[in-house]
Amino acid sequence: MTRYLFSFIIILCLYVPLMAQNDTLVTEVGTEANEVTEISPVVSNATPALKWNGSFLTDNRLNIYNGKNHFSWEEYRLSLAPEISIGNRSSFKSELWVRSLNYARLNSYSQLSAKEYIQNIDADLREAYFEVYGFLSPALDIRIGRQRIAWGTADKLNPTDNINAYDMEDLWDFGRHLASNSIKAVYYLHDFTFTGAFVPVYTPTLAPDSSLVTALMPDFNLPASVMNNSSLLYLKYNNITDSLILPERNIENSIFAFKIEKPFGNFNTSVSYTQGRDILPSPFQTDIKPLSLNGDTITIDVRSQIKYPRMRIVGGDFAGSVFNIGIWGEAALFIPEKITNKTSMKLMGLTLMEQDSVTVDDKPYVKVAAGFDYTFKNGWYLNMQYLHGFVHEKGNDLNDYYVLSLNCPLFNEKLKLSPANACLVVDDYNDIQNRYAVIYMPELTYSGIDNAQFSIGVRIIEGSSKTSFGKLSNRDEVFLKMKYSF
Amino acid sequence: MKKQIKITALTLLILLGSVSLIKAQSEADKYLTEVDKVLNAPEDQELTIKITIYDKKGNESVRELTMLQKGCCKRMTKFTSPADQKGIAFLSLPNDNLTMYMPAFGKTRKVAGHVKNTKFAGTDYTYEDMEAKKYTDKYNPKILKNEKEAYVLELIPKDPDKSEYSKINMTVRSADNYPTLLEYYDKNGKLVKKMTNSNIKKVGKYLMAHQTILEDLRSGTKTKMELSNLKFDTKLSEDFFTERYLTR
Repeated sequence: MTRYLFSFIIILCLYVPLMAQNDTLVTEVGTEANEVTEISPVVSNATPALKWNGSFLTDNRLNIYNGKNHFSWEEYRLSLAPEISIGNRSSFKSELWVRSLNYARLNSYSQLSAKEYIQNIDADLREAYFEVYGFLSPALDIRIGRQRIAWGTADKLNPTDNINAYDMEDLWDFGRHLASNSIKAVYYLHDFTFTGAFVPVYTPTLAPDSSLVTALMPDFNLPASVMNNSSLLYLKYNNITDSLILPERNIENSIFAFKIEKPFGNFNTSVSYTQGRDILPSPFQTDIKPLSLNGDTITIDVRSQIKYPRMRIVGGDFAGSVFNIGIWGEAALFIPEKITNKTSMKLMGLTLMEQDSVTVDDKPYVKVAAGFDYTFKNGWYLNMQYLHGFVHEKGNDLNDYYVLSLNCPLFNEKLKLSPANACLVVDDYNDIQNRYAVIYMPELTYSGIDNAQFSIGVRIIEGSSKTSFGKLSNRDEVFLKMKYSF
Repeated sequence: MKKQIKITALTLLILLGSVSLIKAQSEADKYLTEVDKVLNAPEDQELTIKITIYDKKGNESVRELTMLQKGCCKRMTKFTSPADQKGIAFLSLPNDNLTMYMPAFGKTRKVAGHVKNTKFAGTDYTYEDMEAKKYTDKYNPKILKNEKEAYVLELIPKDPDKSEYSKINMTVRSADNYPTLLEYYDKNGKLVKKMTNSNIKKVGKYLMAHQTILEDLRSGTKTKMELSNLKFDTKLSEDFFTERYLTR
């Protein structure tokens, strides 16, 4: 089976450039042109034309918690997006970020001669793919390369969007994903759209920096003591390390996904299936090495091996309108692979302790997102969304998120005031006073100059440290952003 | 006897009144049908639109888009400039079916009714103004004025809930049934917008206003639309009027 699939992919890869070469010929001869699409001079060029688009963005943040006033984020991003259309049958699109992100990372005199420590500039190929419309069949479009495959109808936070790895480098840029080196095929049949995606090699999620990553990690307390032959031994941790085991690069570990879409009246609907992996790794083997025994206290080293559990995800979504109000919803059933952590303590080959514990239960769970939006007669735009289960949450630990956004255009839409952008997180309705978090994010945006946008805002976080976002309550920030598109 | 005569006379009067009303109505319908025929005469059309927005102080801001239209009611619109709006596309299909594509998100979304009365890309046009339509499908006409040079139709929305206007007064050239002026009234009956069609000339066998100016009388802003690269009856494929094409 694997051999056949592999052969098919190779043939596919070889055939795409041939199709692109034949593209002009097919159109000129006119044998297939009528079956596929007729070329429109307004919307396409007969000869390949390179177009350059892009933007320049600056994003500066100042942490204002307890009068700290220190710069917490600095990003200067040049985004370049070259694009080539080859007739009406194929195109190449890409996006490259060249960035200066955050601050000098110097900690020794000797590093002063290394520019990478002083100016942290990186290049990030966000997307680069080749697309063929009407590939093999007039109803089939295919896209090969590094690409973002965005699924789901909810705003930014989509439980069904699980093909690409999450990009949480900037935790506040909700819903950002990394692109994957992949193949996507879309087949159109009457009202139905069938989409299939294949990502050969798994890419892990990009986590936020160490100061923010705690927000995503479940509370994890190492045991303070163990029973040994009915006597209590206190544990002193000397060194805790982990070893991340990535899935082997083979077909069995590739990501597969498919989706069927169909409109019903003024609603778009879809069902989908993704065979992927959890976004966070879980321990499956923990080795404890005793170093010394001092009375009833034992000093140990702990080394855990962690891996990404397999995850099957069945999703469904809809979007449409009722009584002029836009509504959407999506739900995803996550079926995880069971992961058991084998903990063992060995000394000179002698097993002192062995214990198994379930770190990921195979019990399925459901994440949901639903919302509505409405524009009032005075132009005010209201968007509300409910989310059950943030991207990193799983199993029984799914929290509820209520997200509100209100945009008020002023001065003929040159100014946009968002006075009520907020998110309420509820961890436990029975103990809401101690298990909640609120993020309040008012923002003012000026768009009075063509292609340019200036935003200033503040982010205030309040809540219990038992919730993900409550852990970030010392991250109150003022931010200033500018974006110029070209 | 006298009473019977009175009733008969009254009945006749009502009948005559109804007949003249029906006649006037059918005449108004006929006129509006003619307008629709002229505006939607091409089987299909493709063109480039340059939109210039003038604020109260006269400052300009320019947008460009390409438009494909098939018949009266299928329209695909794609922004080609400015850079921050490039790639945004709209597909307008019959039965108030409007879908938008936002390249930044890589997704399409049905546009809900509440958006249709909001400004289209910062212009003075609303999505309702921009949608591909037959006036006869959307409005009940009434003749306000009928003169040698021009006639004026009052258009009342058939479904008031779906329109931000209480009526539109449309001035039409009698010679060729091409509308030259549209005056839009809000729900309070106040004149709020004025659209003037000019530079009306034939391209091939079809009449087309090459310039349209829409003035928003409330804000003092105006939007000029200039058409170029007009092509008619090029047998545009139905494929262009699909969500599949919208995302390209």
